Amino acid sequence: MLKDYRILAALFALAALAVGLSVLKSVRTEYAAFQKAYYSQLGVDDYDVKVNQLNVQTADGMQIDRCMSCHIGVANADAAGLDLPLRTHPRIVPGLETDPHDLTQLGCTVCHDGNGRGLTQRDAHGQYLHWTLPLKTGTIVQSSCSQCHLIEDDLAGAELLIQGQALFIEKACWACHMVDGVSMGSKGPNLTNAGQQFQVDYLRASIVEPTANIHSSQMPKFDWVEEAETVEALVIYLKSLRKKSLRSLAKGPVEFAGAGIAIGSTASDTSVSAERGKTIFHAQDVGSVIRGGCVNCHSYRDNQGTLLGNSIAPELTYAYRARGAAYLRQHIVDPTADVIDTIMPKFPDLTDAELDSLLAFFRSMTFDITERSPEKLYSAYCASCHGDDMDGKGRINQSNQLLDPLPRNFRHQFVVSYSERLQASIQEGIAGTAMPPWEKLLSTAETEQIVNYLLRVVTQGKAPFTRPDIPLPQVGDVDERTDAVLEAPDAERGKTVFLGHCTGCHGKLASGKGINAYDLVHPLPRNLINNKFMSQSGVTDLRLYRSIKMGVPGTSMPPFDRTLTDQGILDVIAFLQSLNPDQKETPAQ
Amino acid sequence: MPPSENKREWTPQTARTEEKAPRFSPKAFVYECWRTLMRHRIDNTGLTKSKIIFSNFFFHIQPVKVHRRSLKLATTCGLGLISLYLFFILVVTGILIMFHYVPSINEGPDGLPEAYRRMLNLRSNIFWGTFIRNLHRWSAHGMVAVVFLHMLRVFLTGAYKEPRQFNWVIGCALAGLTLLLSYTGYLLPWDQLAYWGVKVGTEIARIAPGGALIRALLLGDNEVGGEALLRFYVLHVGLLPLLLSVGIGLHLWRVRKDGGLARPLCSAGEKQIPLAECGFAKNNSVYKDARSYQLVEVVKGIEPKVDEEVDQMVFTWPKLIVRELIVFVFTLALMCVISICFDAGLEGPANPAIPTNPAKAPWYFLGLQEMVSYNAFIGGVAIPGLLAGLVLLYPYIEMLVERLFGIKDRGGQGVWFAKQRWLENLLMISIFAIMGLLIIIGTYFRGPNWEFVTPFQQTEIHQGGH
Repeated sequence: MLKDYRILAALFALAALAVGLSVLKSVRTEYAAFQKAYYSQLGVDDYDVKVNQLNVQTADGMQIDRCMSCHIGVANADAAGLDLPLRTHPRIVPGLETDPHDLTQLGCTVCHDGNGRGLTQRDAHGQYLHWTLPLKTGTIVQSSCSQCHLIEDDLAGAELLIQGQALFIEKACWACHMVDGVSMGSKGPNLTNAGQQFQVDYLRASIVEPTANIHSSQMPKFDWVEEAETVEALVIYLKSLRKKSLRSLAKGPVEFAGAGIAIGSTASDTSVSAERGKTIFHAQDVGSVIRGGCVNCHSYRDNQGTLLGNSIAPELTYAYRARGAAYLRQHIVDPTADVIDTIMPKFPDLTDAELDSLLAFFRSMTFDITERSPEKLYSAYCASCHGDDMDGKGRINQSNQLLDPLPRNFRHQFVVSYSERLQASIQEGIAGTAMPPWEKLLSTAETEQIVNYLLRVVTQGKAPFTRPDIPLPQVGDVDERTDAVLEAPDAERGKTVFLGHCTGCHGKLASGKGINAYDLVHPLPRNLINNKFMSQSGVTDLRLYRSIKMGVPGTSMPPFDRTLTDQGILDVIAFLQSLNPDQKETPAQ
Repeated sequence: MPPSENKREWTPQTARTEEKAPRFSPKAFVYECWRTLMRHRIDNTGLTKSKIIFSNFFFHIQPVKVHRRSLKLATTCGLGLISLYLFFILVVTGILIMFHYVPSINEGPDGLPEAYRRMLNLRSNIFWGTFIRNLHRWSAHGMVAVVFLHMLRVFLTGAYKEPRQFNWVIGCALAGLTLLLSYTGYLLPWDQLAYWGVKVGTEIARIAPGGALIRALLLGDNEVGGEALLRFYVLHVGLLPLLLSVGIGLHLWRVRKDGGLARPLCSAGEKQIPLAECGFAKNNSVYKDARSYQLVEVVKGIEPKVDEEVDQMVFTWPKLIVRELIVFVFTLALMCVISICFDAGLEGPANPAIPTNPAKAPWYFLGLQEMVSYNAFIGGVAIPGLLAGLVLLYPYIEMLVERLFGIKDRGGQGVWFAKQRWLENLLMISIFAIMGLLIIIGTYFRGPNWEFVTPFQQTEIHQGGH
C-alpha cells in the first residue's frame, strides 16, 4: 500500500513540475530577453517588459503588429549601434533629411509582411509551411511601396518596382495575364492578387522555368530569364500586386490619391502605316498604352535578312505572302479560331488602324532568298519550325515545345509513305495547325524538289520503310477477325468504343488532352475535335482507318489491329465524323 | 440570597442547560465539521470503508468491494481509465480554449480568417495558450489511440461476452463518437492541414452510399467553408461532448451492473496482489471471527449468489482508488511533459485554391485513405463498412454461432489470449495490425501524389502557390 502512495506522490510531483515548467515557458519569452538586452545596452534601469502592439487602422479593421516587441529600437535613433533585432531601422527614402515614414504609426508588417501577431522569430517571420506572406527582406521590400503609393517614376527608393512595372508591359506579360486595372489577358493565370497569393521564390521560379510549379504550364521560357535583374524587377512588381492594398482603402496609414496605371486610349489615332505597325510589333514607345509586343514571341527578317525578335512562335517573314491579309487579321484578333490549340493570346483591343498598321508592316517584309535550291528553300522556309536536321526541332521548338500540334519530325523513315500527302501539305498548308500554305511562294516544281530532297535525306539511300496499302473496308465486307459482315458504321457504337480504348490519351472530349497526354513523348495525341484539321481534304476515312489499325509510326499511337475489329474502327471513324460536323463533302477514296 | 431563587423549576430548557456541557475540543469540532461534509467516520473499519464509497457522489459508481484481479495493472492496462481521464483533460482545456476561439472565417485586414487569427493569438500573446492548445491537441490524438487500444484489450480478454454484449456495442459507439470529436476538432484551427485533412475526409465519405447526404449535413455547403466550420464547432463543443458524457456514464454504469471487470469463474491459479497490500480493515464486529461486513445483493431465484469468490474481494478504498488516481496523475503528467516538449503544429491559413500535396486526412483515417488510394469503393466503403459492422456486432455474431451450433460457453472471460479463443483473437490482432500498418504507411511512406517515399526523405515540398 505504501508503495502505491509513494508512486502517487512521485507522479504528483512530476505533474506539478511539468505544469510549473509550462508556466515558466510561457513567462520566459524571446521578446522579454530582447527587451532586457535592449534596455541594459541603452543603460535604462526602469522599464517594463511588455508586448508592444501596434494596431494599424485599416478599413477592414485593425492590422495587428507586435513586431516591435523584439524589434524594440526601430524608431529610436539612439539604437543605431545595436545588433539585430534591436537596431534602428535604416532610412527608407534615400536622400531625405527626415524620413516621412513614421514607424511608430506604420509598424513593420505594412512593408515587411510576415505574421504580425507572432512573438517568436519563426512564427513572426512566417517561416513555416504554407504561410502566405513570409518576411520580405532586401530589395523585395520595394514591392510593398504600392501598398500606399502610386507607382510613379519619381517614387524614390522604388526603382526596381518601377522597372518591373515597365517590364510587365514591355515583355508583353499583359497579353496573357490579367491584372485588374492594367491588362485583360486571359491565356494565363490572373495575377491581380499575385502578391498575396504567391511567395517570392514561387514567382521567380515560375518566370525562370514556367513548368517548375505548374507541370502542364504552356508559358514560354523567354530568353531574358537569364538576366537576373530583369527577373528580379518583374518578381518585385508581381509581388506588389494585391487585391486589397492599403492604398485603395479609405483609411490608410499614409495619405495617397488615385490607383492603378492610367491606360491611354489610341482610338483617336487613325493613321495607318508600316512604321506604326513596326512600333506596335516591337512595343516601342508605347508608354502606358498597352497594345503590342509581338516581338516577345515572334521573329522576322528585315529586308537585309537579319533575324529580329524571339524564337517562341513562328517566324513571320513570309506570313503575309503565304497567308494573306484576311487570315492574319483574323489570327491577331482571335488566334484560336484558326488553330484551336495555339497558346497565342487574343488581341481584341487593337483598333482597326492599329491592325491595318500591323498588316502594313507585315506586307513590308519583302526579304526572300535568291538561290532557290531545295536545300536553301528548306532552310529558309521550313527549318525554323522543322529544324535543320528535319527532326521537328527548329529554332522555335527547341527550348519551348509550344506549337500544338508540333511540326512534323521527318526523321522517321515512314514519312516516305506520306510522300503524296507531303506535296499537298506544303502547297495547301495544314488547316488547324501552324503550317501555312506555301503555294504563293513555292512553285509546284520547287515543292516537288523539296519533297524529294526530304526523302533523300531521310532514307539516306537505304530502302525506305513503307506501310501496307490496306484498303478501307466497305459495308458488306467480312470482318477478318470476327467473320461477321460489316454493318453500316454507327456513331453511338463508335462512342462506346472510343470511350473504352481512346480516352486515356485523346481524352473524354477527344481533345487530345487525355490523362496520359502530358506524360507522352512528343508529338502529343491528336486533338480530334480540331475542326479545321479534321475537316480538311487530306484527313480521309482511309487515313483514319490506317492510323487506328496500324498505329502512327514515330508517335505514341499504337496499332489497334488486335484490339479493335474493323467494325469497331469504322464505328469510331463515324463517331469522329459526328464530332466534326462540317465534314468534307466527298471523302477522297 | 433567598433559597427560592436558587431553586428552579424543571423544564426541558433548564434540563438541557443543566446537563454538563462538554469541554470545547478543537479536534471534536473539526470532526463535527467533517461529518457535515462527509457521511462517514474516519477509521479503518469495514463499515467506514464501505461508506466512503457508497455515500460519496464521486465514488459511488465504484463497488464497495472489488475482486483482487481488478487491482492488477495487467488486467486492463488502465486503458479505459486513461481514455476517461484524457476526456477530462480535453473538457477542461477545451473550455479554456473556448474562451478565446471564434468559429468564423471572416477575413481581417491581414487577409487572415478570424478562426486562424485566434490560433495565432493563442500561440503568441495569450498566456499559457500554446501549452493549453498543445495539451488539447495531444490529448485528442492520445484519446483516439487509447480508445482503440482499449477496444483491443476488451476483445483480447473476452470481456465482451455475456452479460456484457451490449456494453461492447456502447463502447463501439463511444469509439465512433471519439473519432467524430477528434475529426470535428481537426477543422477548427482553419489552417492548411485542417482544411485539407477535412476536405479529404469528407471526399472519402462521398464514396459511401448515403455519404453525400451525411457530407452535406455535416458541411452545410458543397465545399468545406464557413458553414462547415460553424457546424463542426457546434458539434465539437456542444453536441458530441454531451453525447459522449452520457455514453460514458452508461458504459461505466453497465460495467458496474454487469459485475465489474470480466473475470474467469475461478481465479485460483492466478497470482494476486497479497492481501496485506490491499489495506488493513479493522474488524469491529461483535463476533470477531465472523465477517464484519458483507454486501447483500438481491438476486433472482432462491439461491444465494455463489459465483463470487468472496475471499478474493477486497475493499475498494483505498487500494483501487489510489491506483486509479495513479493512472490519472500519470496520464496528466505524461500529457504535460509531451505538451512542453512538442508544440502542436500550425500551418498557413486554409486556402481552398492551393491544395497541399499530399493532402492527408488525420492519422486515424490514413489507413482508410491508403485503402481508398487502391480502390475507392472497396477500400473506402466495402472493407471499412464490413469491418465496422463486424466489430460492432461481434458479440451477437458469436452468440448466434454458438446458439446455431449448440456450442456451450467456452469460457476465457477476463483472461488474456485465452487458448479456446485463439481464432478470434488472431483475427482481431490481424485487423489491428493491418490497420496500424496501413496508417504507418499512410503517415510516413506517402509523399506528393501519394507516391511511395522513404520516411523523413528530404522531399522538396511544393507549397502550392506559396
